[in-house]
Amino acid sequence: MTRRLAALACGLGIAVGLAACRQDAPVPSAAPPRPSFGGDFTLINQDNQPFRLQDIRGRAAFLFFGYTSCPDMCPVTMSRIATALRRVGPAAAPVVTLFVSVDPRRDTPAVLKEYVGSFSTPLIGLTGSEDEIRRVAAAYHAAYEFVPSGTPNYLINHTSAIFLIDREGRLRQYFKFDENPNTLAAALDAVLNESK
Amino acid sequence: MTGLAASLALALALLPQPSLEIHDAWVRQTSSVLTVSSGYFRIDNHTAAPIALIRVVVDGARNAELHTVVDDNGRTIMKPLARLSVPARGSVTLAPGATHLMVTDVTRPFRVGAHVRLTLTFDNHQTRTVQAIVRPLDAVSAK
Repeated sequence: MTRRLAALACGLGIAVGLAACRQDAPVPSAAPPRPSFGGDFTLINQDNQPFRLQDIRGRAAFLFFGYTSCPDMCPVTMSRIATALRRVGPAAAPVVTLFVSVDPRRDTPAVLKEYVGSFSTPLIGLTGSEDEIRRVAAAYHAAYEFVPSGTPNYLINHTSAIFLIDREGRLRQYFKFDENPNTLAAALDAVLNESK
Repeated sequence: MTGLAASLALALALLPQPSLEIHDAWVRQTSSVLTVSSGYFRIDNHTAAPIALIRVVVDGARNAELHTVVDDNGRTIMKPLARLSVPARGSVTLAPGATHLMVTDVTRPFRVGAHVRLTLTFDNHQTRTVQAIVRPLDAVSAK
């Protein structure tokens, strides 16, 4: 119970800064879902098709927010996830990695398709209307803000956490973008080893 | 033989050493659609005085800025750096997830395996040119 409360407190804090927050131990599988944190959503994938989180029910997922013009943190996040998946090995084959763009103006499905295709690890890129993105980000307590630059090359400060979602679609843990891949792998392994 | 080796070592030690060296330079790949990259390298300052990197020009890109990653009340954000100090007889490394070169408006796609010329200007008016290898989007090092 204490652990669950601590996790929730940490979760509430991420509205202003999730990157510094990390839940070190998995929430016990007996823990009830927290509907106010995470949950299902519908967006558009890189093939311009609707994607619902429910569509991957039965498969665990890593999810992170970012944008394709993010020069450093987003590629680093993806490389951490890719390394963790390799460390888990064949058991990680069904695991899905989701990239939710917070920059729907620039990140059209076509741009996302080019972006996700540039990674060696399979990745699903997701976009939507600004309202839809805002709703999904709010559900995961992920903050983002545009940094005006006066040019088309604006930056976006955004929550850089990596979210781990279990096979039932429940948010289970979150980590810093530069988390040690061994930690990510251990958490994923624990989720994959849970009985369905 | 031992005497020869000692003489050789002494001769090597007496050779003039470059005052500044740039190592392990690399940039991330781009495409016709994705026109933002990032660059990384290590600067070795062999002189007895601190220096600062104040400008980087990247061939094939219109703009390059030094950025660092900072924690802002628990949120990770990027901040521009006007200069990057390198201590006397010390080194500074630009690395993923930390201080890096943000490269925007890439006009000629950086293809994996190709090289891109970086020109670094320091506050003591020295410049260095280095060929950065283009690495995949999810790379974490030059190799």
